[in-house]
Amino acid sequence: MSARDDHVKGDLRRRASRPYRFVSRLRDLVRESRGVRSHPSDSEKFLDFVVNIAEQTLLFLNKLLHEEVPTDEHVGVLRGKIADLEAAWTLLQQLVKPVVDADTLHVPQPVVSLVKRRAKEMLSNPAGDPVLAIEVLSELNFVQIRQVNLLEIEKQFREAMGLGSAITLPPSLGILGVPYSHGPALFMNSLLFHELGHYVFERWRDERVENMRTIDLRQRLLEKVEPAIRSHFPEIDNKDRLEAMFEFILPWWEEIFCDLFAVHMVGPVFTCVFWEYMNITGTIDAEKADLFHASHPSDRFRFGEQVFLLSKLDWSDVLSKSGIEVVETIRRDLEIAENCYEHKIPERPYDPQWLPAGFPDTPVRVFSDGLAVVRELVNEVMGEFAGKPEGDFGKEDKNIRLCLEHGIVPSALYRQKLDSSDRMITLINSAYFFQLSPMDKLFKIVKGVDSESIPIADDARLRQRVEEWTLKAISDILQHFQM
Amino acid sequence: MLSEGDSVARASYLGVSVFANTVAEALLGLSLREKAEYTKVLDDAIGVLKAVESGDPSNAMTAAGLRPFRGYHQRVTLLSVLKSSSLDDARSKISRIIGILEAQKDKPATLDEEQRKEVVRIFLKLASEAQYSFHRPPAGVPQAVRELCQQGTTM
Repeated sequence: MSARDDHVKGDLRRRASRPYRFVSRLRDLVRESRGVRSHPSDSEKFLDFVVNIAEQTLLFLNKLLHEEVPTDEHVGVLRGKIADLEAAWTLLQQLVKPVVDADTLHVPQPVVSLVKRRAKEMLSNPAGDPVLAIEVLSELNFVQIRQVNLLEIEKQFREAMGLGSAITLPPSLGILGVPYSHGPALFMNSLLFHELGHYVFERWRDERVENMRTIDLRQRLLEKVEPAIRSHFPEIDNKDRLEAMFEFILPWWEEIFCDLFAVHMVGPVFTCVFWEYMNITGTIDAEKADLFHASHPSDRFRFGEQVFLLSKLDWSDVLSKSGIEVVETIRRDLEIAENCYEHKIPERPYDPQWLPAGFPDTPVRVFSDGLAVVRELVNEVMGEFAGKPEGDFGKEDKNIRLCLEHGIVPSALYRQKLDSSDRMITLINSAYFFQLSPMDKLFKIVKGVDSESIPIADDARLRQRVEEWTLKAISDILQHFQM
Repeated sequence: MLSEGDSVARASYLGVSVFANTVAEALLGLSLREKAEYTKVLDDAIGVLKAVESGDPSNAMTAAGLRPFRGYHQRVTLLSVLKSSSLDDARSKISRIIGILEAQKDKPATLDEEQRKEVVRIFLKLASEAQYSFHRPPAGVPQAVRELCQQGTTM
């Protein structure tokens, strides 16, 4: 070999060595953890993929070093391939440890099963039933996180190494993130339905359109909001600039889509828990409720849309009996008008840490005009399916409360076979509003005193028990279903 | 440390880099994959560039074909590598690249080595730009959005 070849080969070897060591370590971490911990079956599929793609990467890096490098262009391509693999692993590795940490002891399995059940009932997914691996997040504020599309990463690995279909993820695999601090909680984890919304936004395809075209939601949204964008920017002279504006606003529309989707799927418990959660994290602030961020619209828009949808759905009766206090608090604190479809455009709509004061509010106006399209899209995706309480909520609610206030797991109410998950949604909402109430009767029965005279530790423990009884009931009901 | 929000943008830039390196790999005829696979790589690349050339990302058919250049920022990266300020400006360059990819696929022996190398270098530059953006995704408001907003069309 010439001195040039020696130099080039040595350089490539050093470059390949870094990802080689890094990928080997990651593969070993997964293998070791699987030796001592048990993971949900969908997470196992993801971890199988990680180990397999790690093996392929190591083989590929080895093969790459045996390639001839007669020209600088050859060297450039090989350096580029190494950089691509390292970049793909940079994205994938973010997901590996959180999934490894989400073993069966740290995952609210009945909630995850319920989310999957709802998705299965609702989505006619050509890729098959939803497969949802779970990751444990360190962030509490998980509804504000945008996850990278797992299938996108997989595609880059396949194309970079020419793997064809040799190693693939289940096409319907997504990842749901649960904050570790929520652990086995039920009510707080109803926020997972918002995460499911992102999964649906990525995966939903309309196969019915003419010419056998398959249209995804991003494309459908772009087609439908184009008039709204053009009405504010009549001078847009090419499609690229139109799309630049669309992409700028898209994350805001997607968040509203996911919020409304979650309200359809699980009902008012989503909005109330989201509100409760934003209060816990100190995120809600009347002065900041108008601020738009790069990835999220303002809280006032988000809650305004949800509250109005709830009043349109069959949940309005439920709310008037049980949850009106929470919804009224949201309305009052965020100054949301009765008809919040007519959103007020704030004077200073952007987070000053993101955009300077005085930046034109036109994107927010376009966003507001496009919300009607987002509502339509949610309805289109939901089709005939609407997440509303089945049958007589009043009667169900009464029986569920009766069980809970006597310290009885409400499974007994569901002895007959169910053909949909709707009544579990009723159960969650009913139990949630029950544990928001003073629960005087339950305190009397269990502790022999009123709720007002009980120490906070006992109060918290008993409310936790209500959550656990409800979770147990859901777990029992899920036994009736073939997942 | 990558933030979660950034990782969405980064994945898009990675798509451009992988695409560009794979096309360059096919043009040089490396032995990392079967010859038949390189024909498919070239076919796909021709389809993608034709979709970019047609220039209508809001059309569903075109959007599906654009693949790595589906996002506005990724198309801008391509235009900057072609030293073009707009798609109209870049069309003739893209057509020429398509012609060379077609020749590589159908009659590789007739292709001038310098022409081939020139196109390889364009794809390597594209990969390098995409890698740069992967590690340092552009922050703030895109130039096109800023310009549109500053034209002051608030109704």
